[in-house]
Amino acid sequence: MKLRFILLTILLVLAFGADILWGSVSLSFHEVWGAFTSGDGDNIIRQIVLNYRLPKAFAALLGGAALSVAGLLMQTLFRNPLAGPDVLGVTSGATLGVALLTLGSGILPALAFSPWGQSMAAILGAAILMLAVLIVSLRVPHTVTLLIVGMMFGYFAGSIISILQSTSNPDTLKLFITWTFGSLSSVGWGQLQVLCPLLFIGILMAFMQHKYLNVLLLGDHNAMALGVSVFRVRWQIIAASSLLAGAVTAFAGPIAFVGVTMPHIARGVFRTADHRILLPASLLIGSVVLLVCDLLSQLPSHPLPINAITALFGAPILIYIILRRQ
Amino acid sequence: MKKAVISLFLIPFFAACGKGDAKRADSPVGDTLRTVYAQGFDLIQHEGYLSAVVYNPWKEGEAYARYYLVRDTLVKTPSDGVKVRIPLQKLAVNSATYFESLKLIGELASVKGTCNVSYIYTPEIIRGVKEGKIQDLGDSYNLTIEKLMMLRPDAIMTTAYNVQDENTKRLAQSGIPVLYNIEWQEVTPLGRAEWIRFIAAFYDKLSEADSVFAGIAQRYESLKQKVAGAGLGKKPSLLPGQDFRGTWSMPAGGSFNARLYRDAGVSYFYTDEQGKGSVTTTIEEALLNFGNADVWIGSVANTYQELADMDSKYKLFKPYKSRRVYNFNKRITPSGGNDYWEGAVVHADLLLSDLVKLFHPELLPDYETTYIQELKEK
Repeated sequence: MKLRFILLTILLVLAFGADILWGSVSLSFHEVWGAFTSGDGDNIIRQIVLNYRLPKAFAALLGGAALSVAGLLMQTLFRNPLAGPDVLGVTSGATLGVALLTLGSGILPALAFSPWGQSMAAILGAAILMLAVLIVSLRVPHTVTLLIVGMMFGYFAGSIISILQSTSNPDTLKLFITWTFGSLSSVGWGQLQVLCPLLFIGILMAFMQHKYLNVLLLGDHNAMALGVSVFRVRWQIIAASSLLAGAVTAFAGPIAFVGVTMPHIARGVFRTADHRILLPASLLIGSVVLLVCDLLSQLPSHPLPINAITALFGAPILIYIILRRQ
Repeated sequence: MKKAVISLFLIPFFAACGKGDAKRADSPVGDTLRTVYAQGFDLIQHEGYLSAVVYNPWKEGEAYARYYLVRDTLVKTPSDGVKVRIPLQKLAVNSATYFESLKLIGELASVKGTCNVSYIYTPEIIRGVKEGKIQDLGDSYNLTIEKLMMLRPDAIMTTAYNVQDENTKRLAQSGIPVLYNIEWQEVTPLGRAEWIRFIAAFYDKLSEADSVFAGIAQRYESLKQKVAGAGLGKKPSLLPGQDFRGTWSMPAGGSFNARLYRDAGVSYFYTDEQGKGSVTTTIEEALLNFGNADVWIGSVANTYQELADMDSKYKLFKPYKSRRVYNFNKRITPSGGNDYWEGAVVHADLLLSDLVKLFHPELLPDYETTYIQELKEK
């Protein structure tokens, strides 16, 4: 078990390094190393490495970690292997916020020309949806009902987005669609300063619940019999997951697939259902995978959307792992 | 001396159709070089530097960007704008609409990076990319930033939209001066063409651009006067565009195209419709309001057969029956480039001439259309 963690950590470091070494423009190891160490030397290369590739790699690392943890929380809460961080509609809320800003010209004028406009609109949308879900969760005893309500929220947001898309002009539509592809490179140092603390809080909240998460797997009634306040735990899980998913979506756009599949890979690799192991495992695996996906997306002559790569390579790997478990 | 001669050329146009309201004058000191038609920018000559202001088309009176153009970087410029060393030697572009302007002032060779290569028409640029002299930067909405930075251009010229997007932010953060060229927001053909002067300012070629633009404006205006004075009686009517999956977008009365139609002496159903954008209608409404239009322009089909196959309802329109349907595909490349979207931006006079040739051929007997052509039979 410990060995696997050590290997994962080494893999993480390697993946991080690789993501910085390789990109759309080929730079030699020497040039990249020089960007970190020497004061003089090519300023443009230093710009590329320190202000473009480095924050992007951190975004991949943090985003992968956050989404996997959020996905694991959702899968445990709903006892559903297909649940992901977007199942409660938080990512749809974030997308709706950005759609209102980009496509619905004039709806959010104050944000339109601010450099933080898109992120703020996304955070606003995600926060509103998260609040709605939390309020509903207080009134709904059965967790499955909550899942349905969350999905309906997502569909509702999606329909408004469709209407906005149908009435917009081609240029702003393409702008919006480009946002929905997900983009780790749009996360700069400024954004990381906000993203880091948010994700740290979310992951901390998640880790603090590991005992209750294990108990939840036994079912709501059994959990209550064991003295766990299901309502309170549910609330905290939803808050943590929404915070993680919402924050990542706000800055990097909606990144699909990672949240749903990384917990399965973690279960497959570590062969356990204990959240004390699964939480850190999903976190590490999520980071590694998103770093690798980012690396792969930068290799072609023109970068491919991150969402395309995550599913393209992730799905076959997941199928392999699941089949191997049988 | 040269400047005086050029200004003399422009004086009649001040009188003929200058802008009604006073221009915003944000800069305190300086000699504003009059922009006659364009609303989106101003050039102001100061002591030792030229300032170029791009106005925010979505927020009245606000500046979208300010540039201070200096030949010598040691010159002190105000801190509220981007200092740009001119003339530019290396330019990256995010839109193909600048190529013709650059060509007309002889600076097309400065383009060293471009986007969406398959949709470009200008043959010199296509050749440059093929020969490796011009870098392909990918999709204009999602530039390969690393390649752009490695190119080390003196500036990147790009367009802007009504919302700040991540791509533009990354461009600004890359340290390369981002020159916003929002010519597509102009509502008059000559206003759009006048951005050649904006571009030329960055190459220290304002006088060349002034004379090119003066020629274009003069030809446009004289043709417009000719149409107005021709005593045409009942004006022929026009049907624009084509529907797409149930929605037919047509230019609203205050838009660029609607003005072009009016200048060409054409009757257009939506000419009084408020707005600078488009009117969304359906094919049924189009049939009602435009069924008996004389000429149909801007179809996406290439043959009448293709048009009929797209939707049999098109056969009910009079222009189809009388075989007067046209598209903008006279100057295209196999991969999708179209000069209507490139060259026509500057050659407003040719655009107007094309329409006049279609609707009032007797006024231009020797002219052959540049961008518009009739659909073939099959």
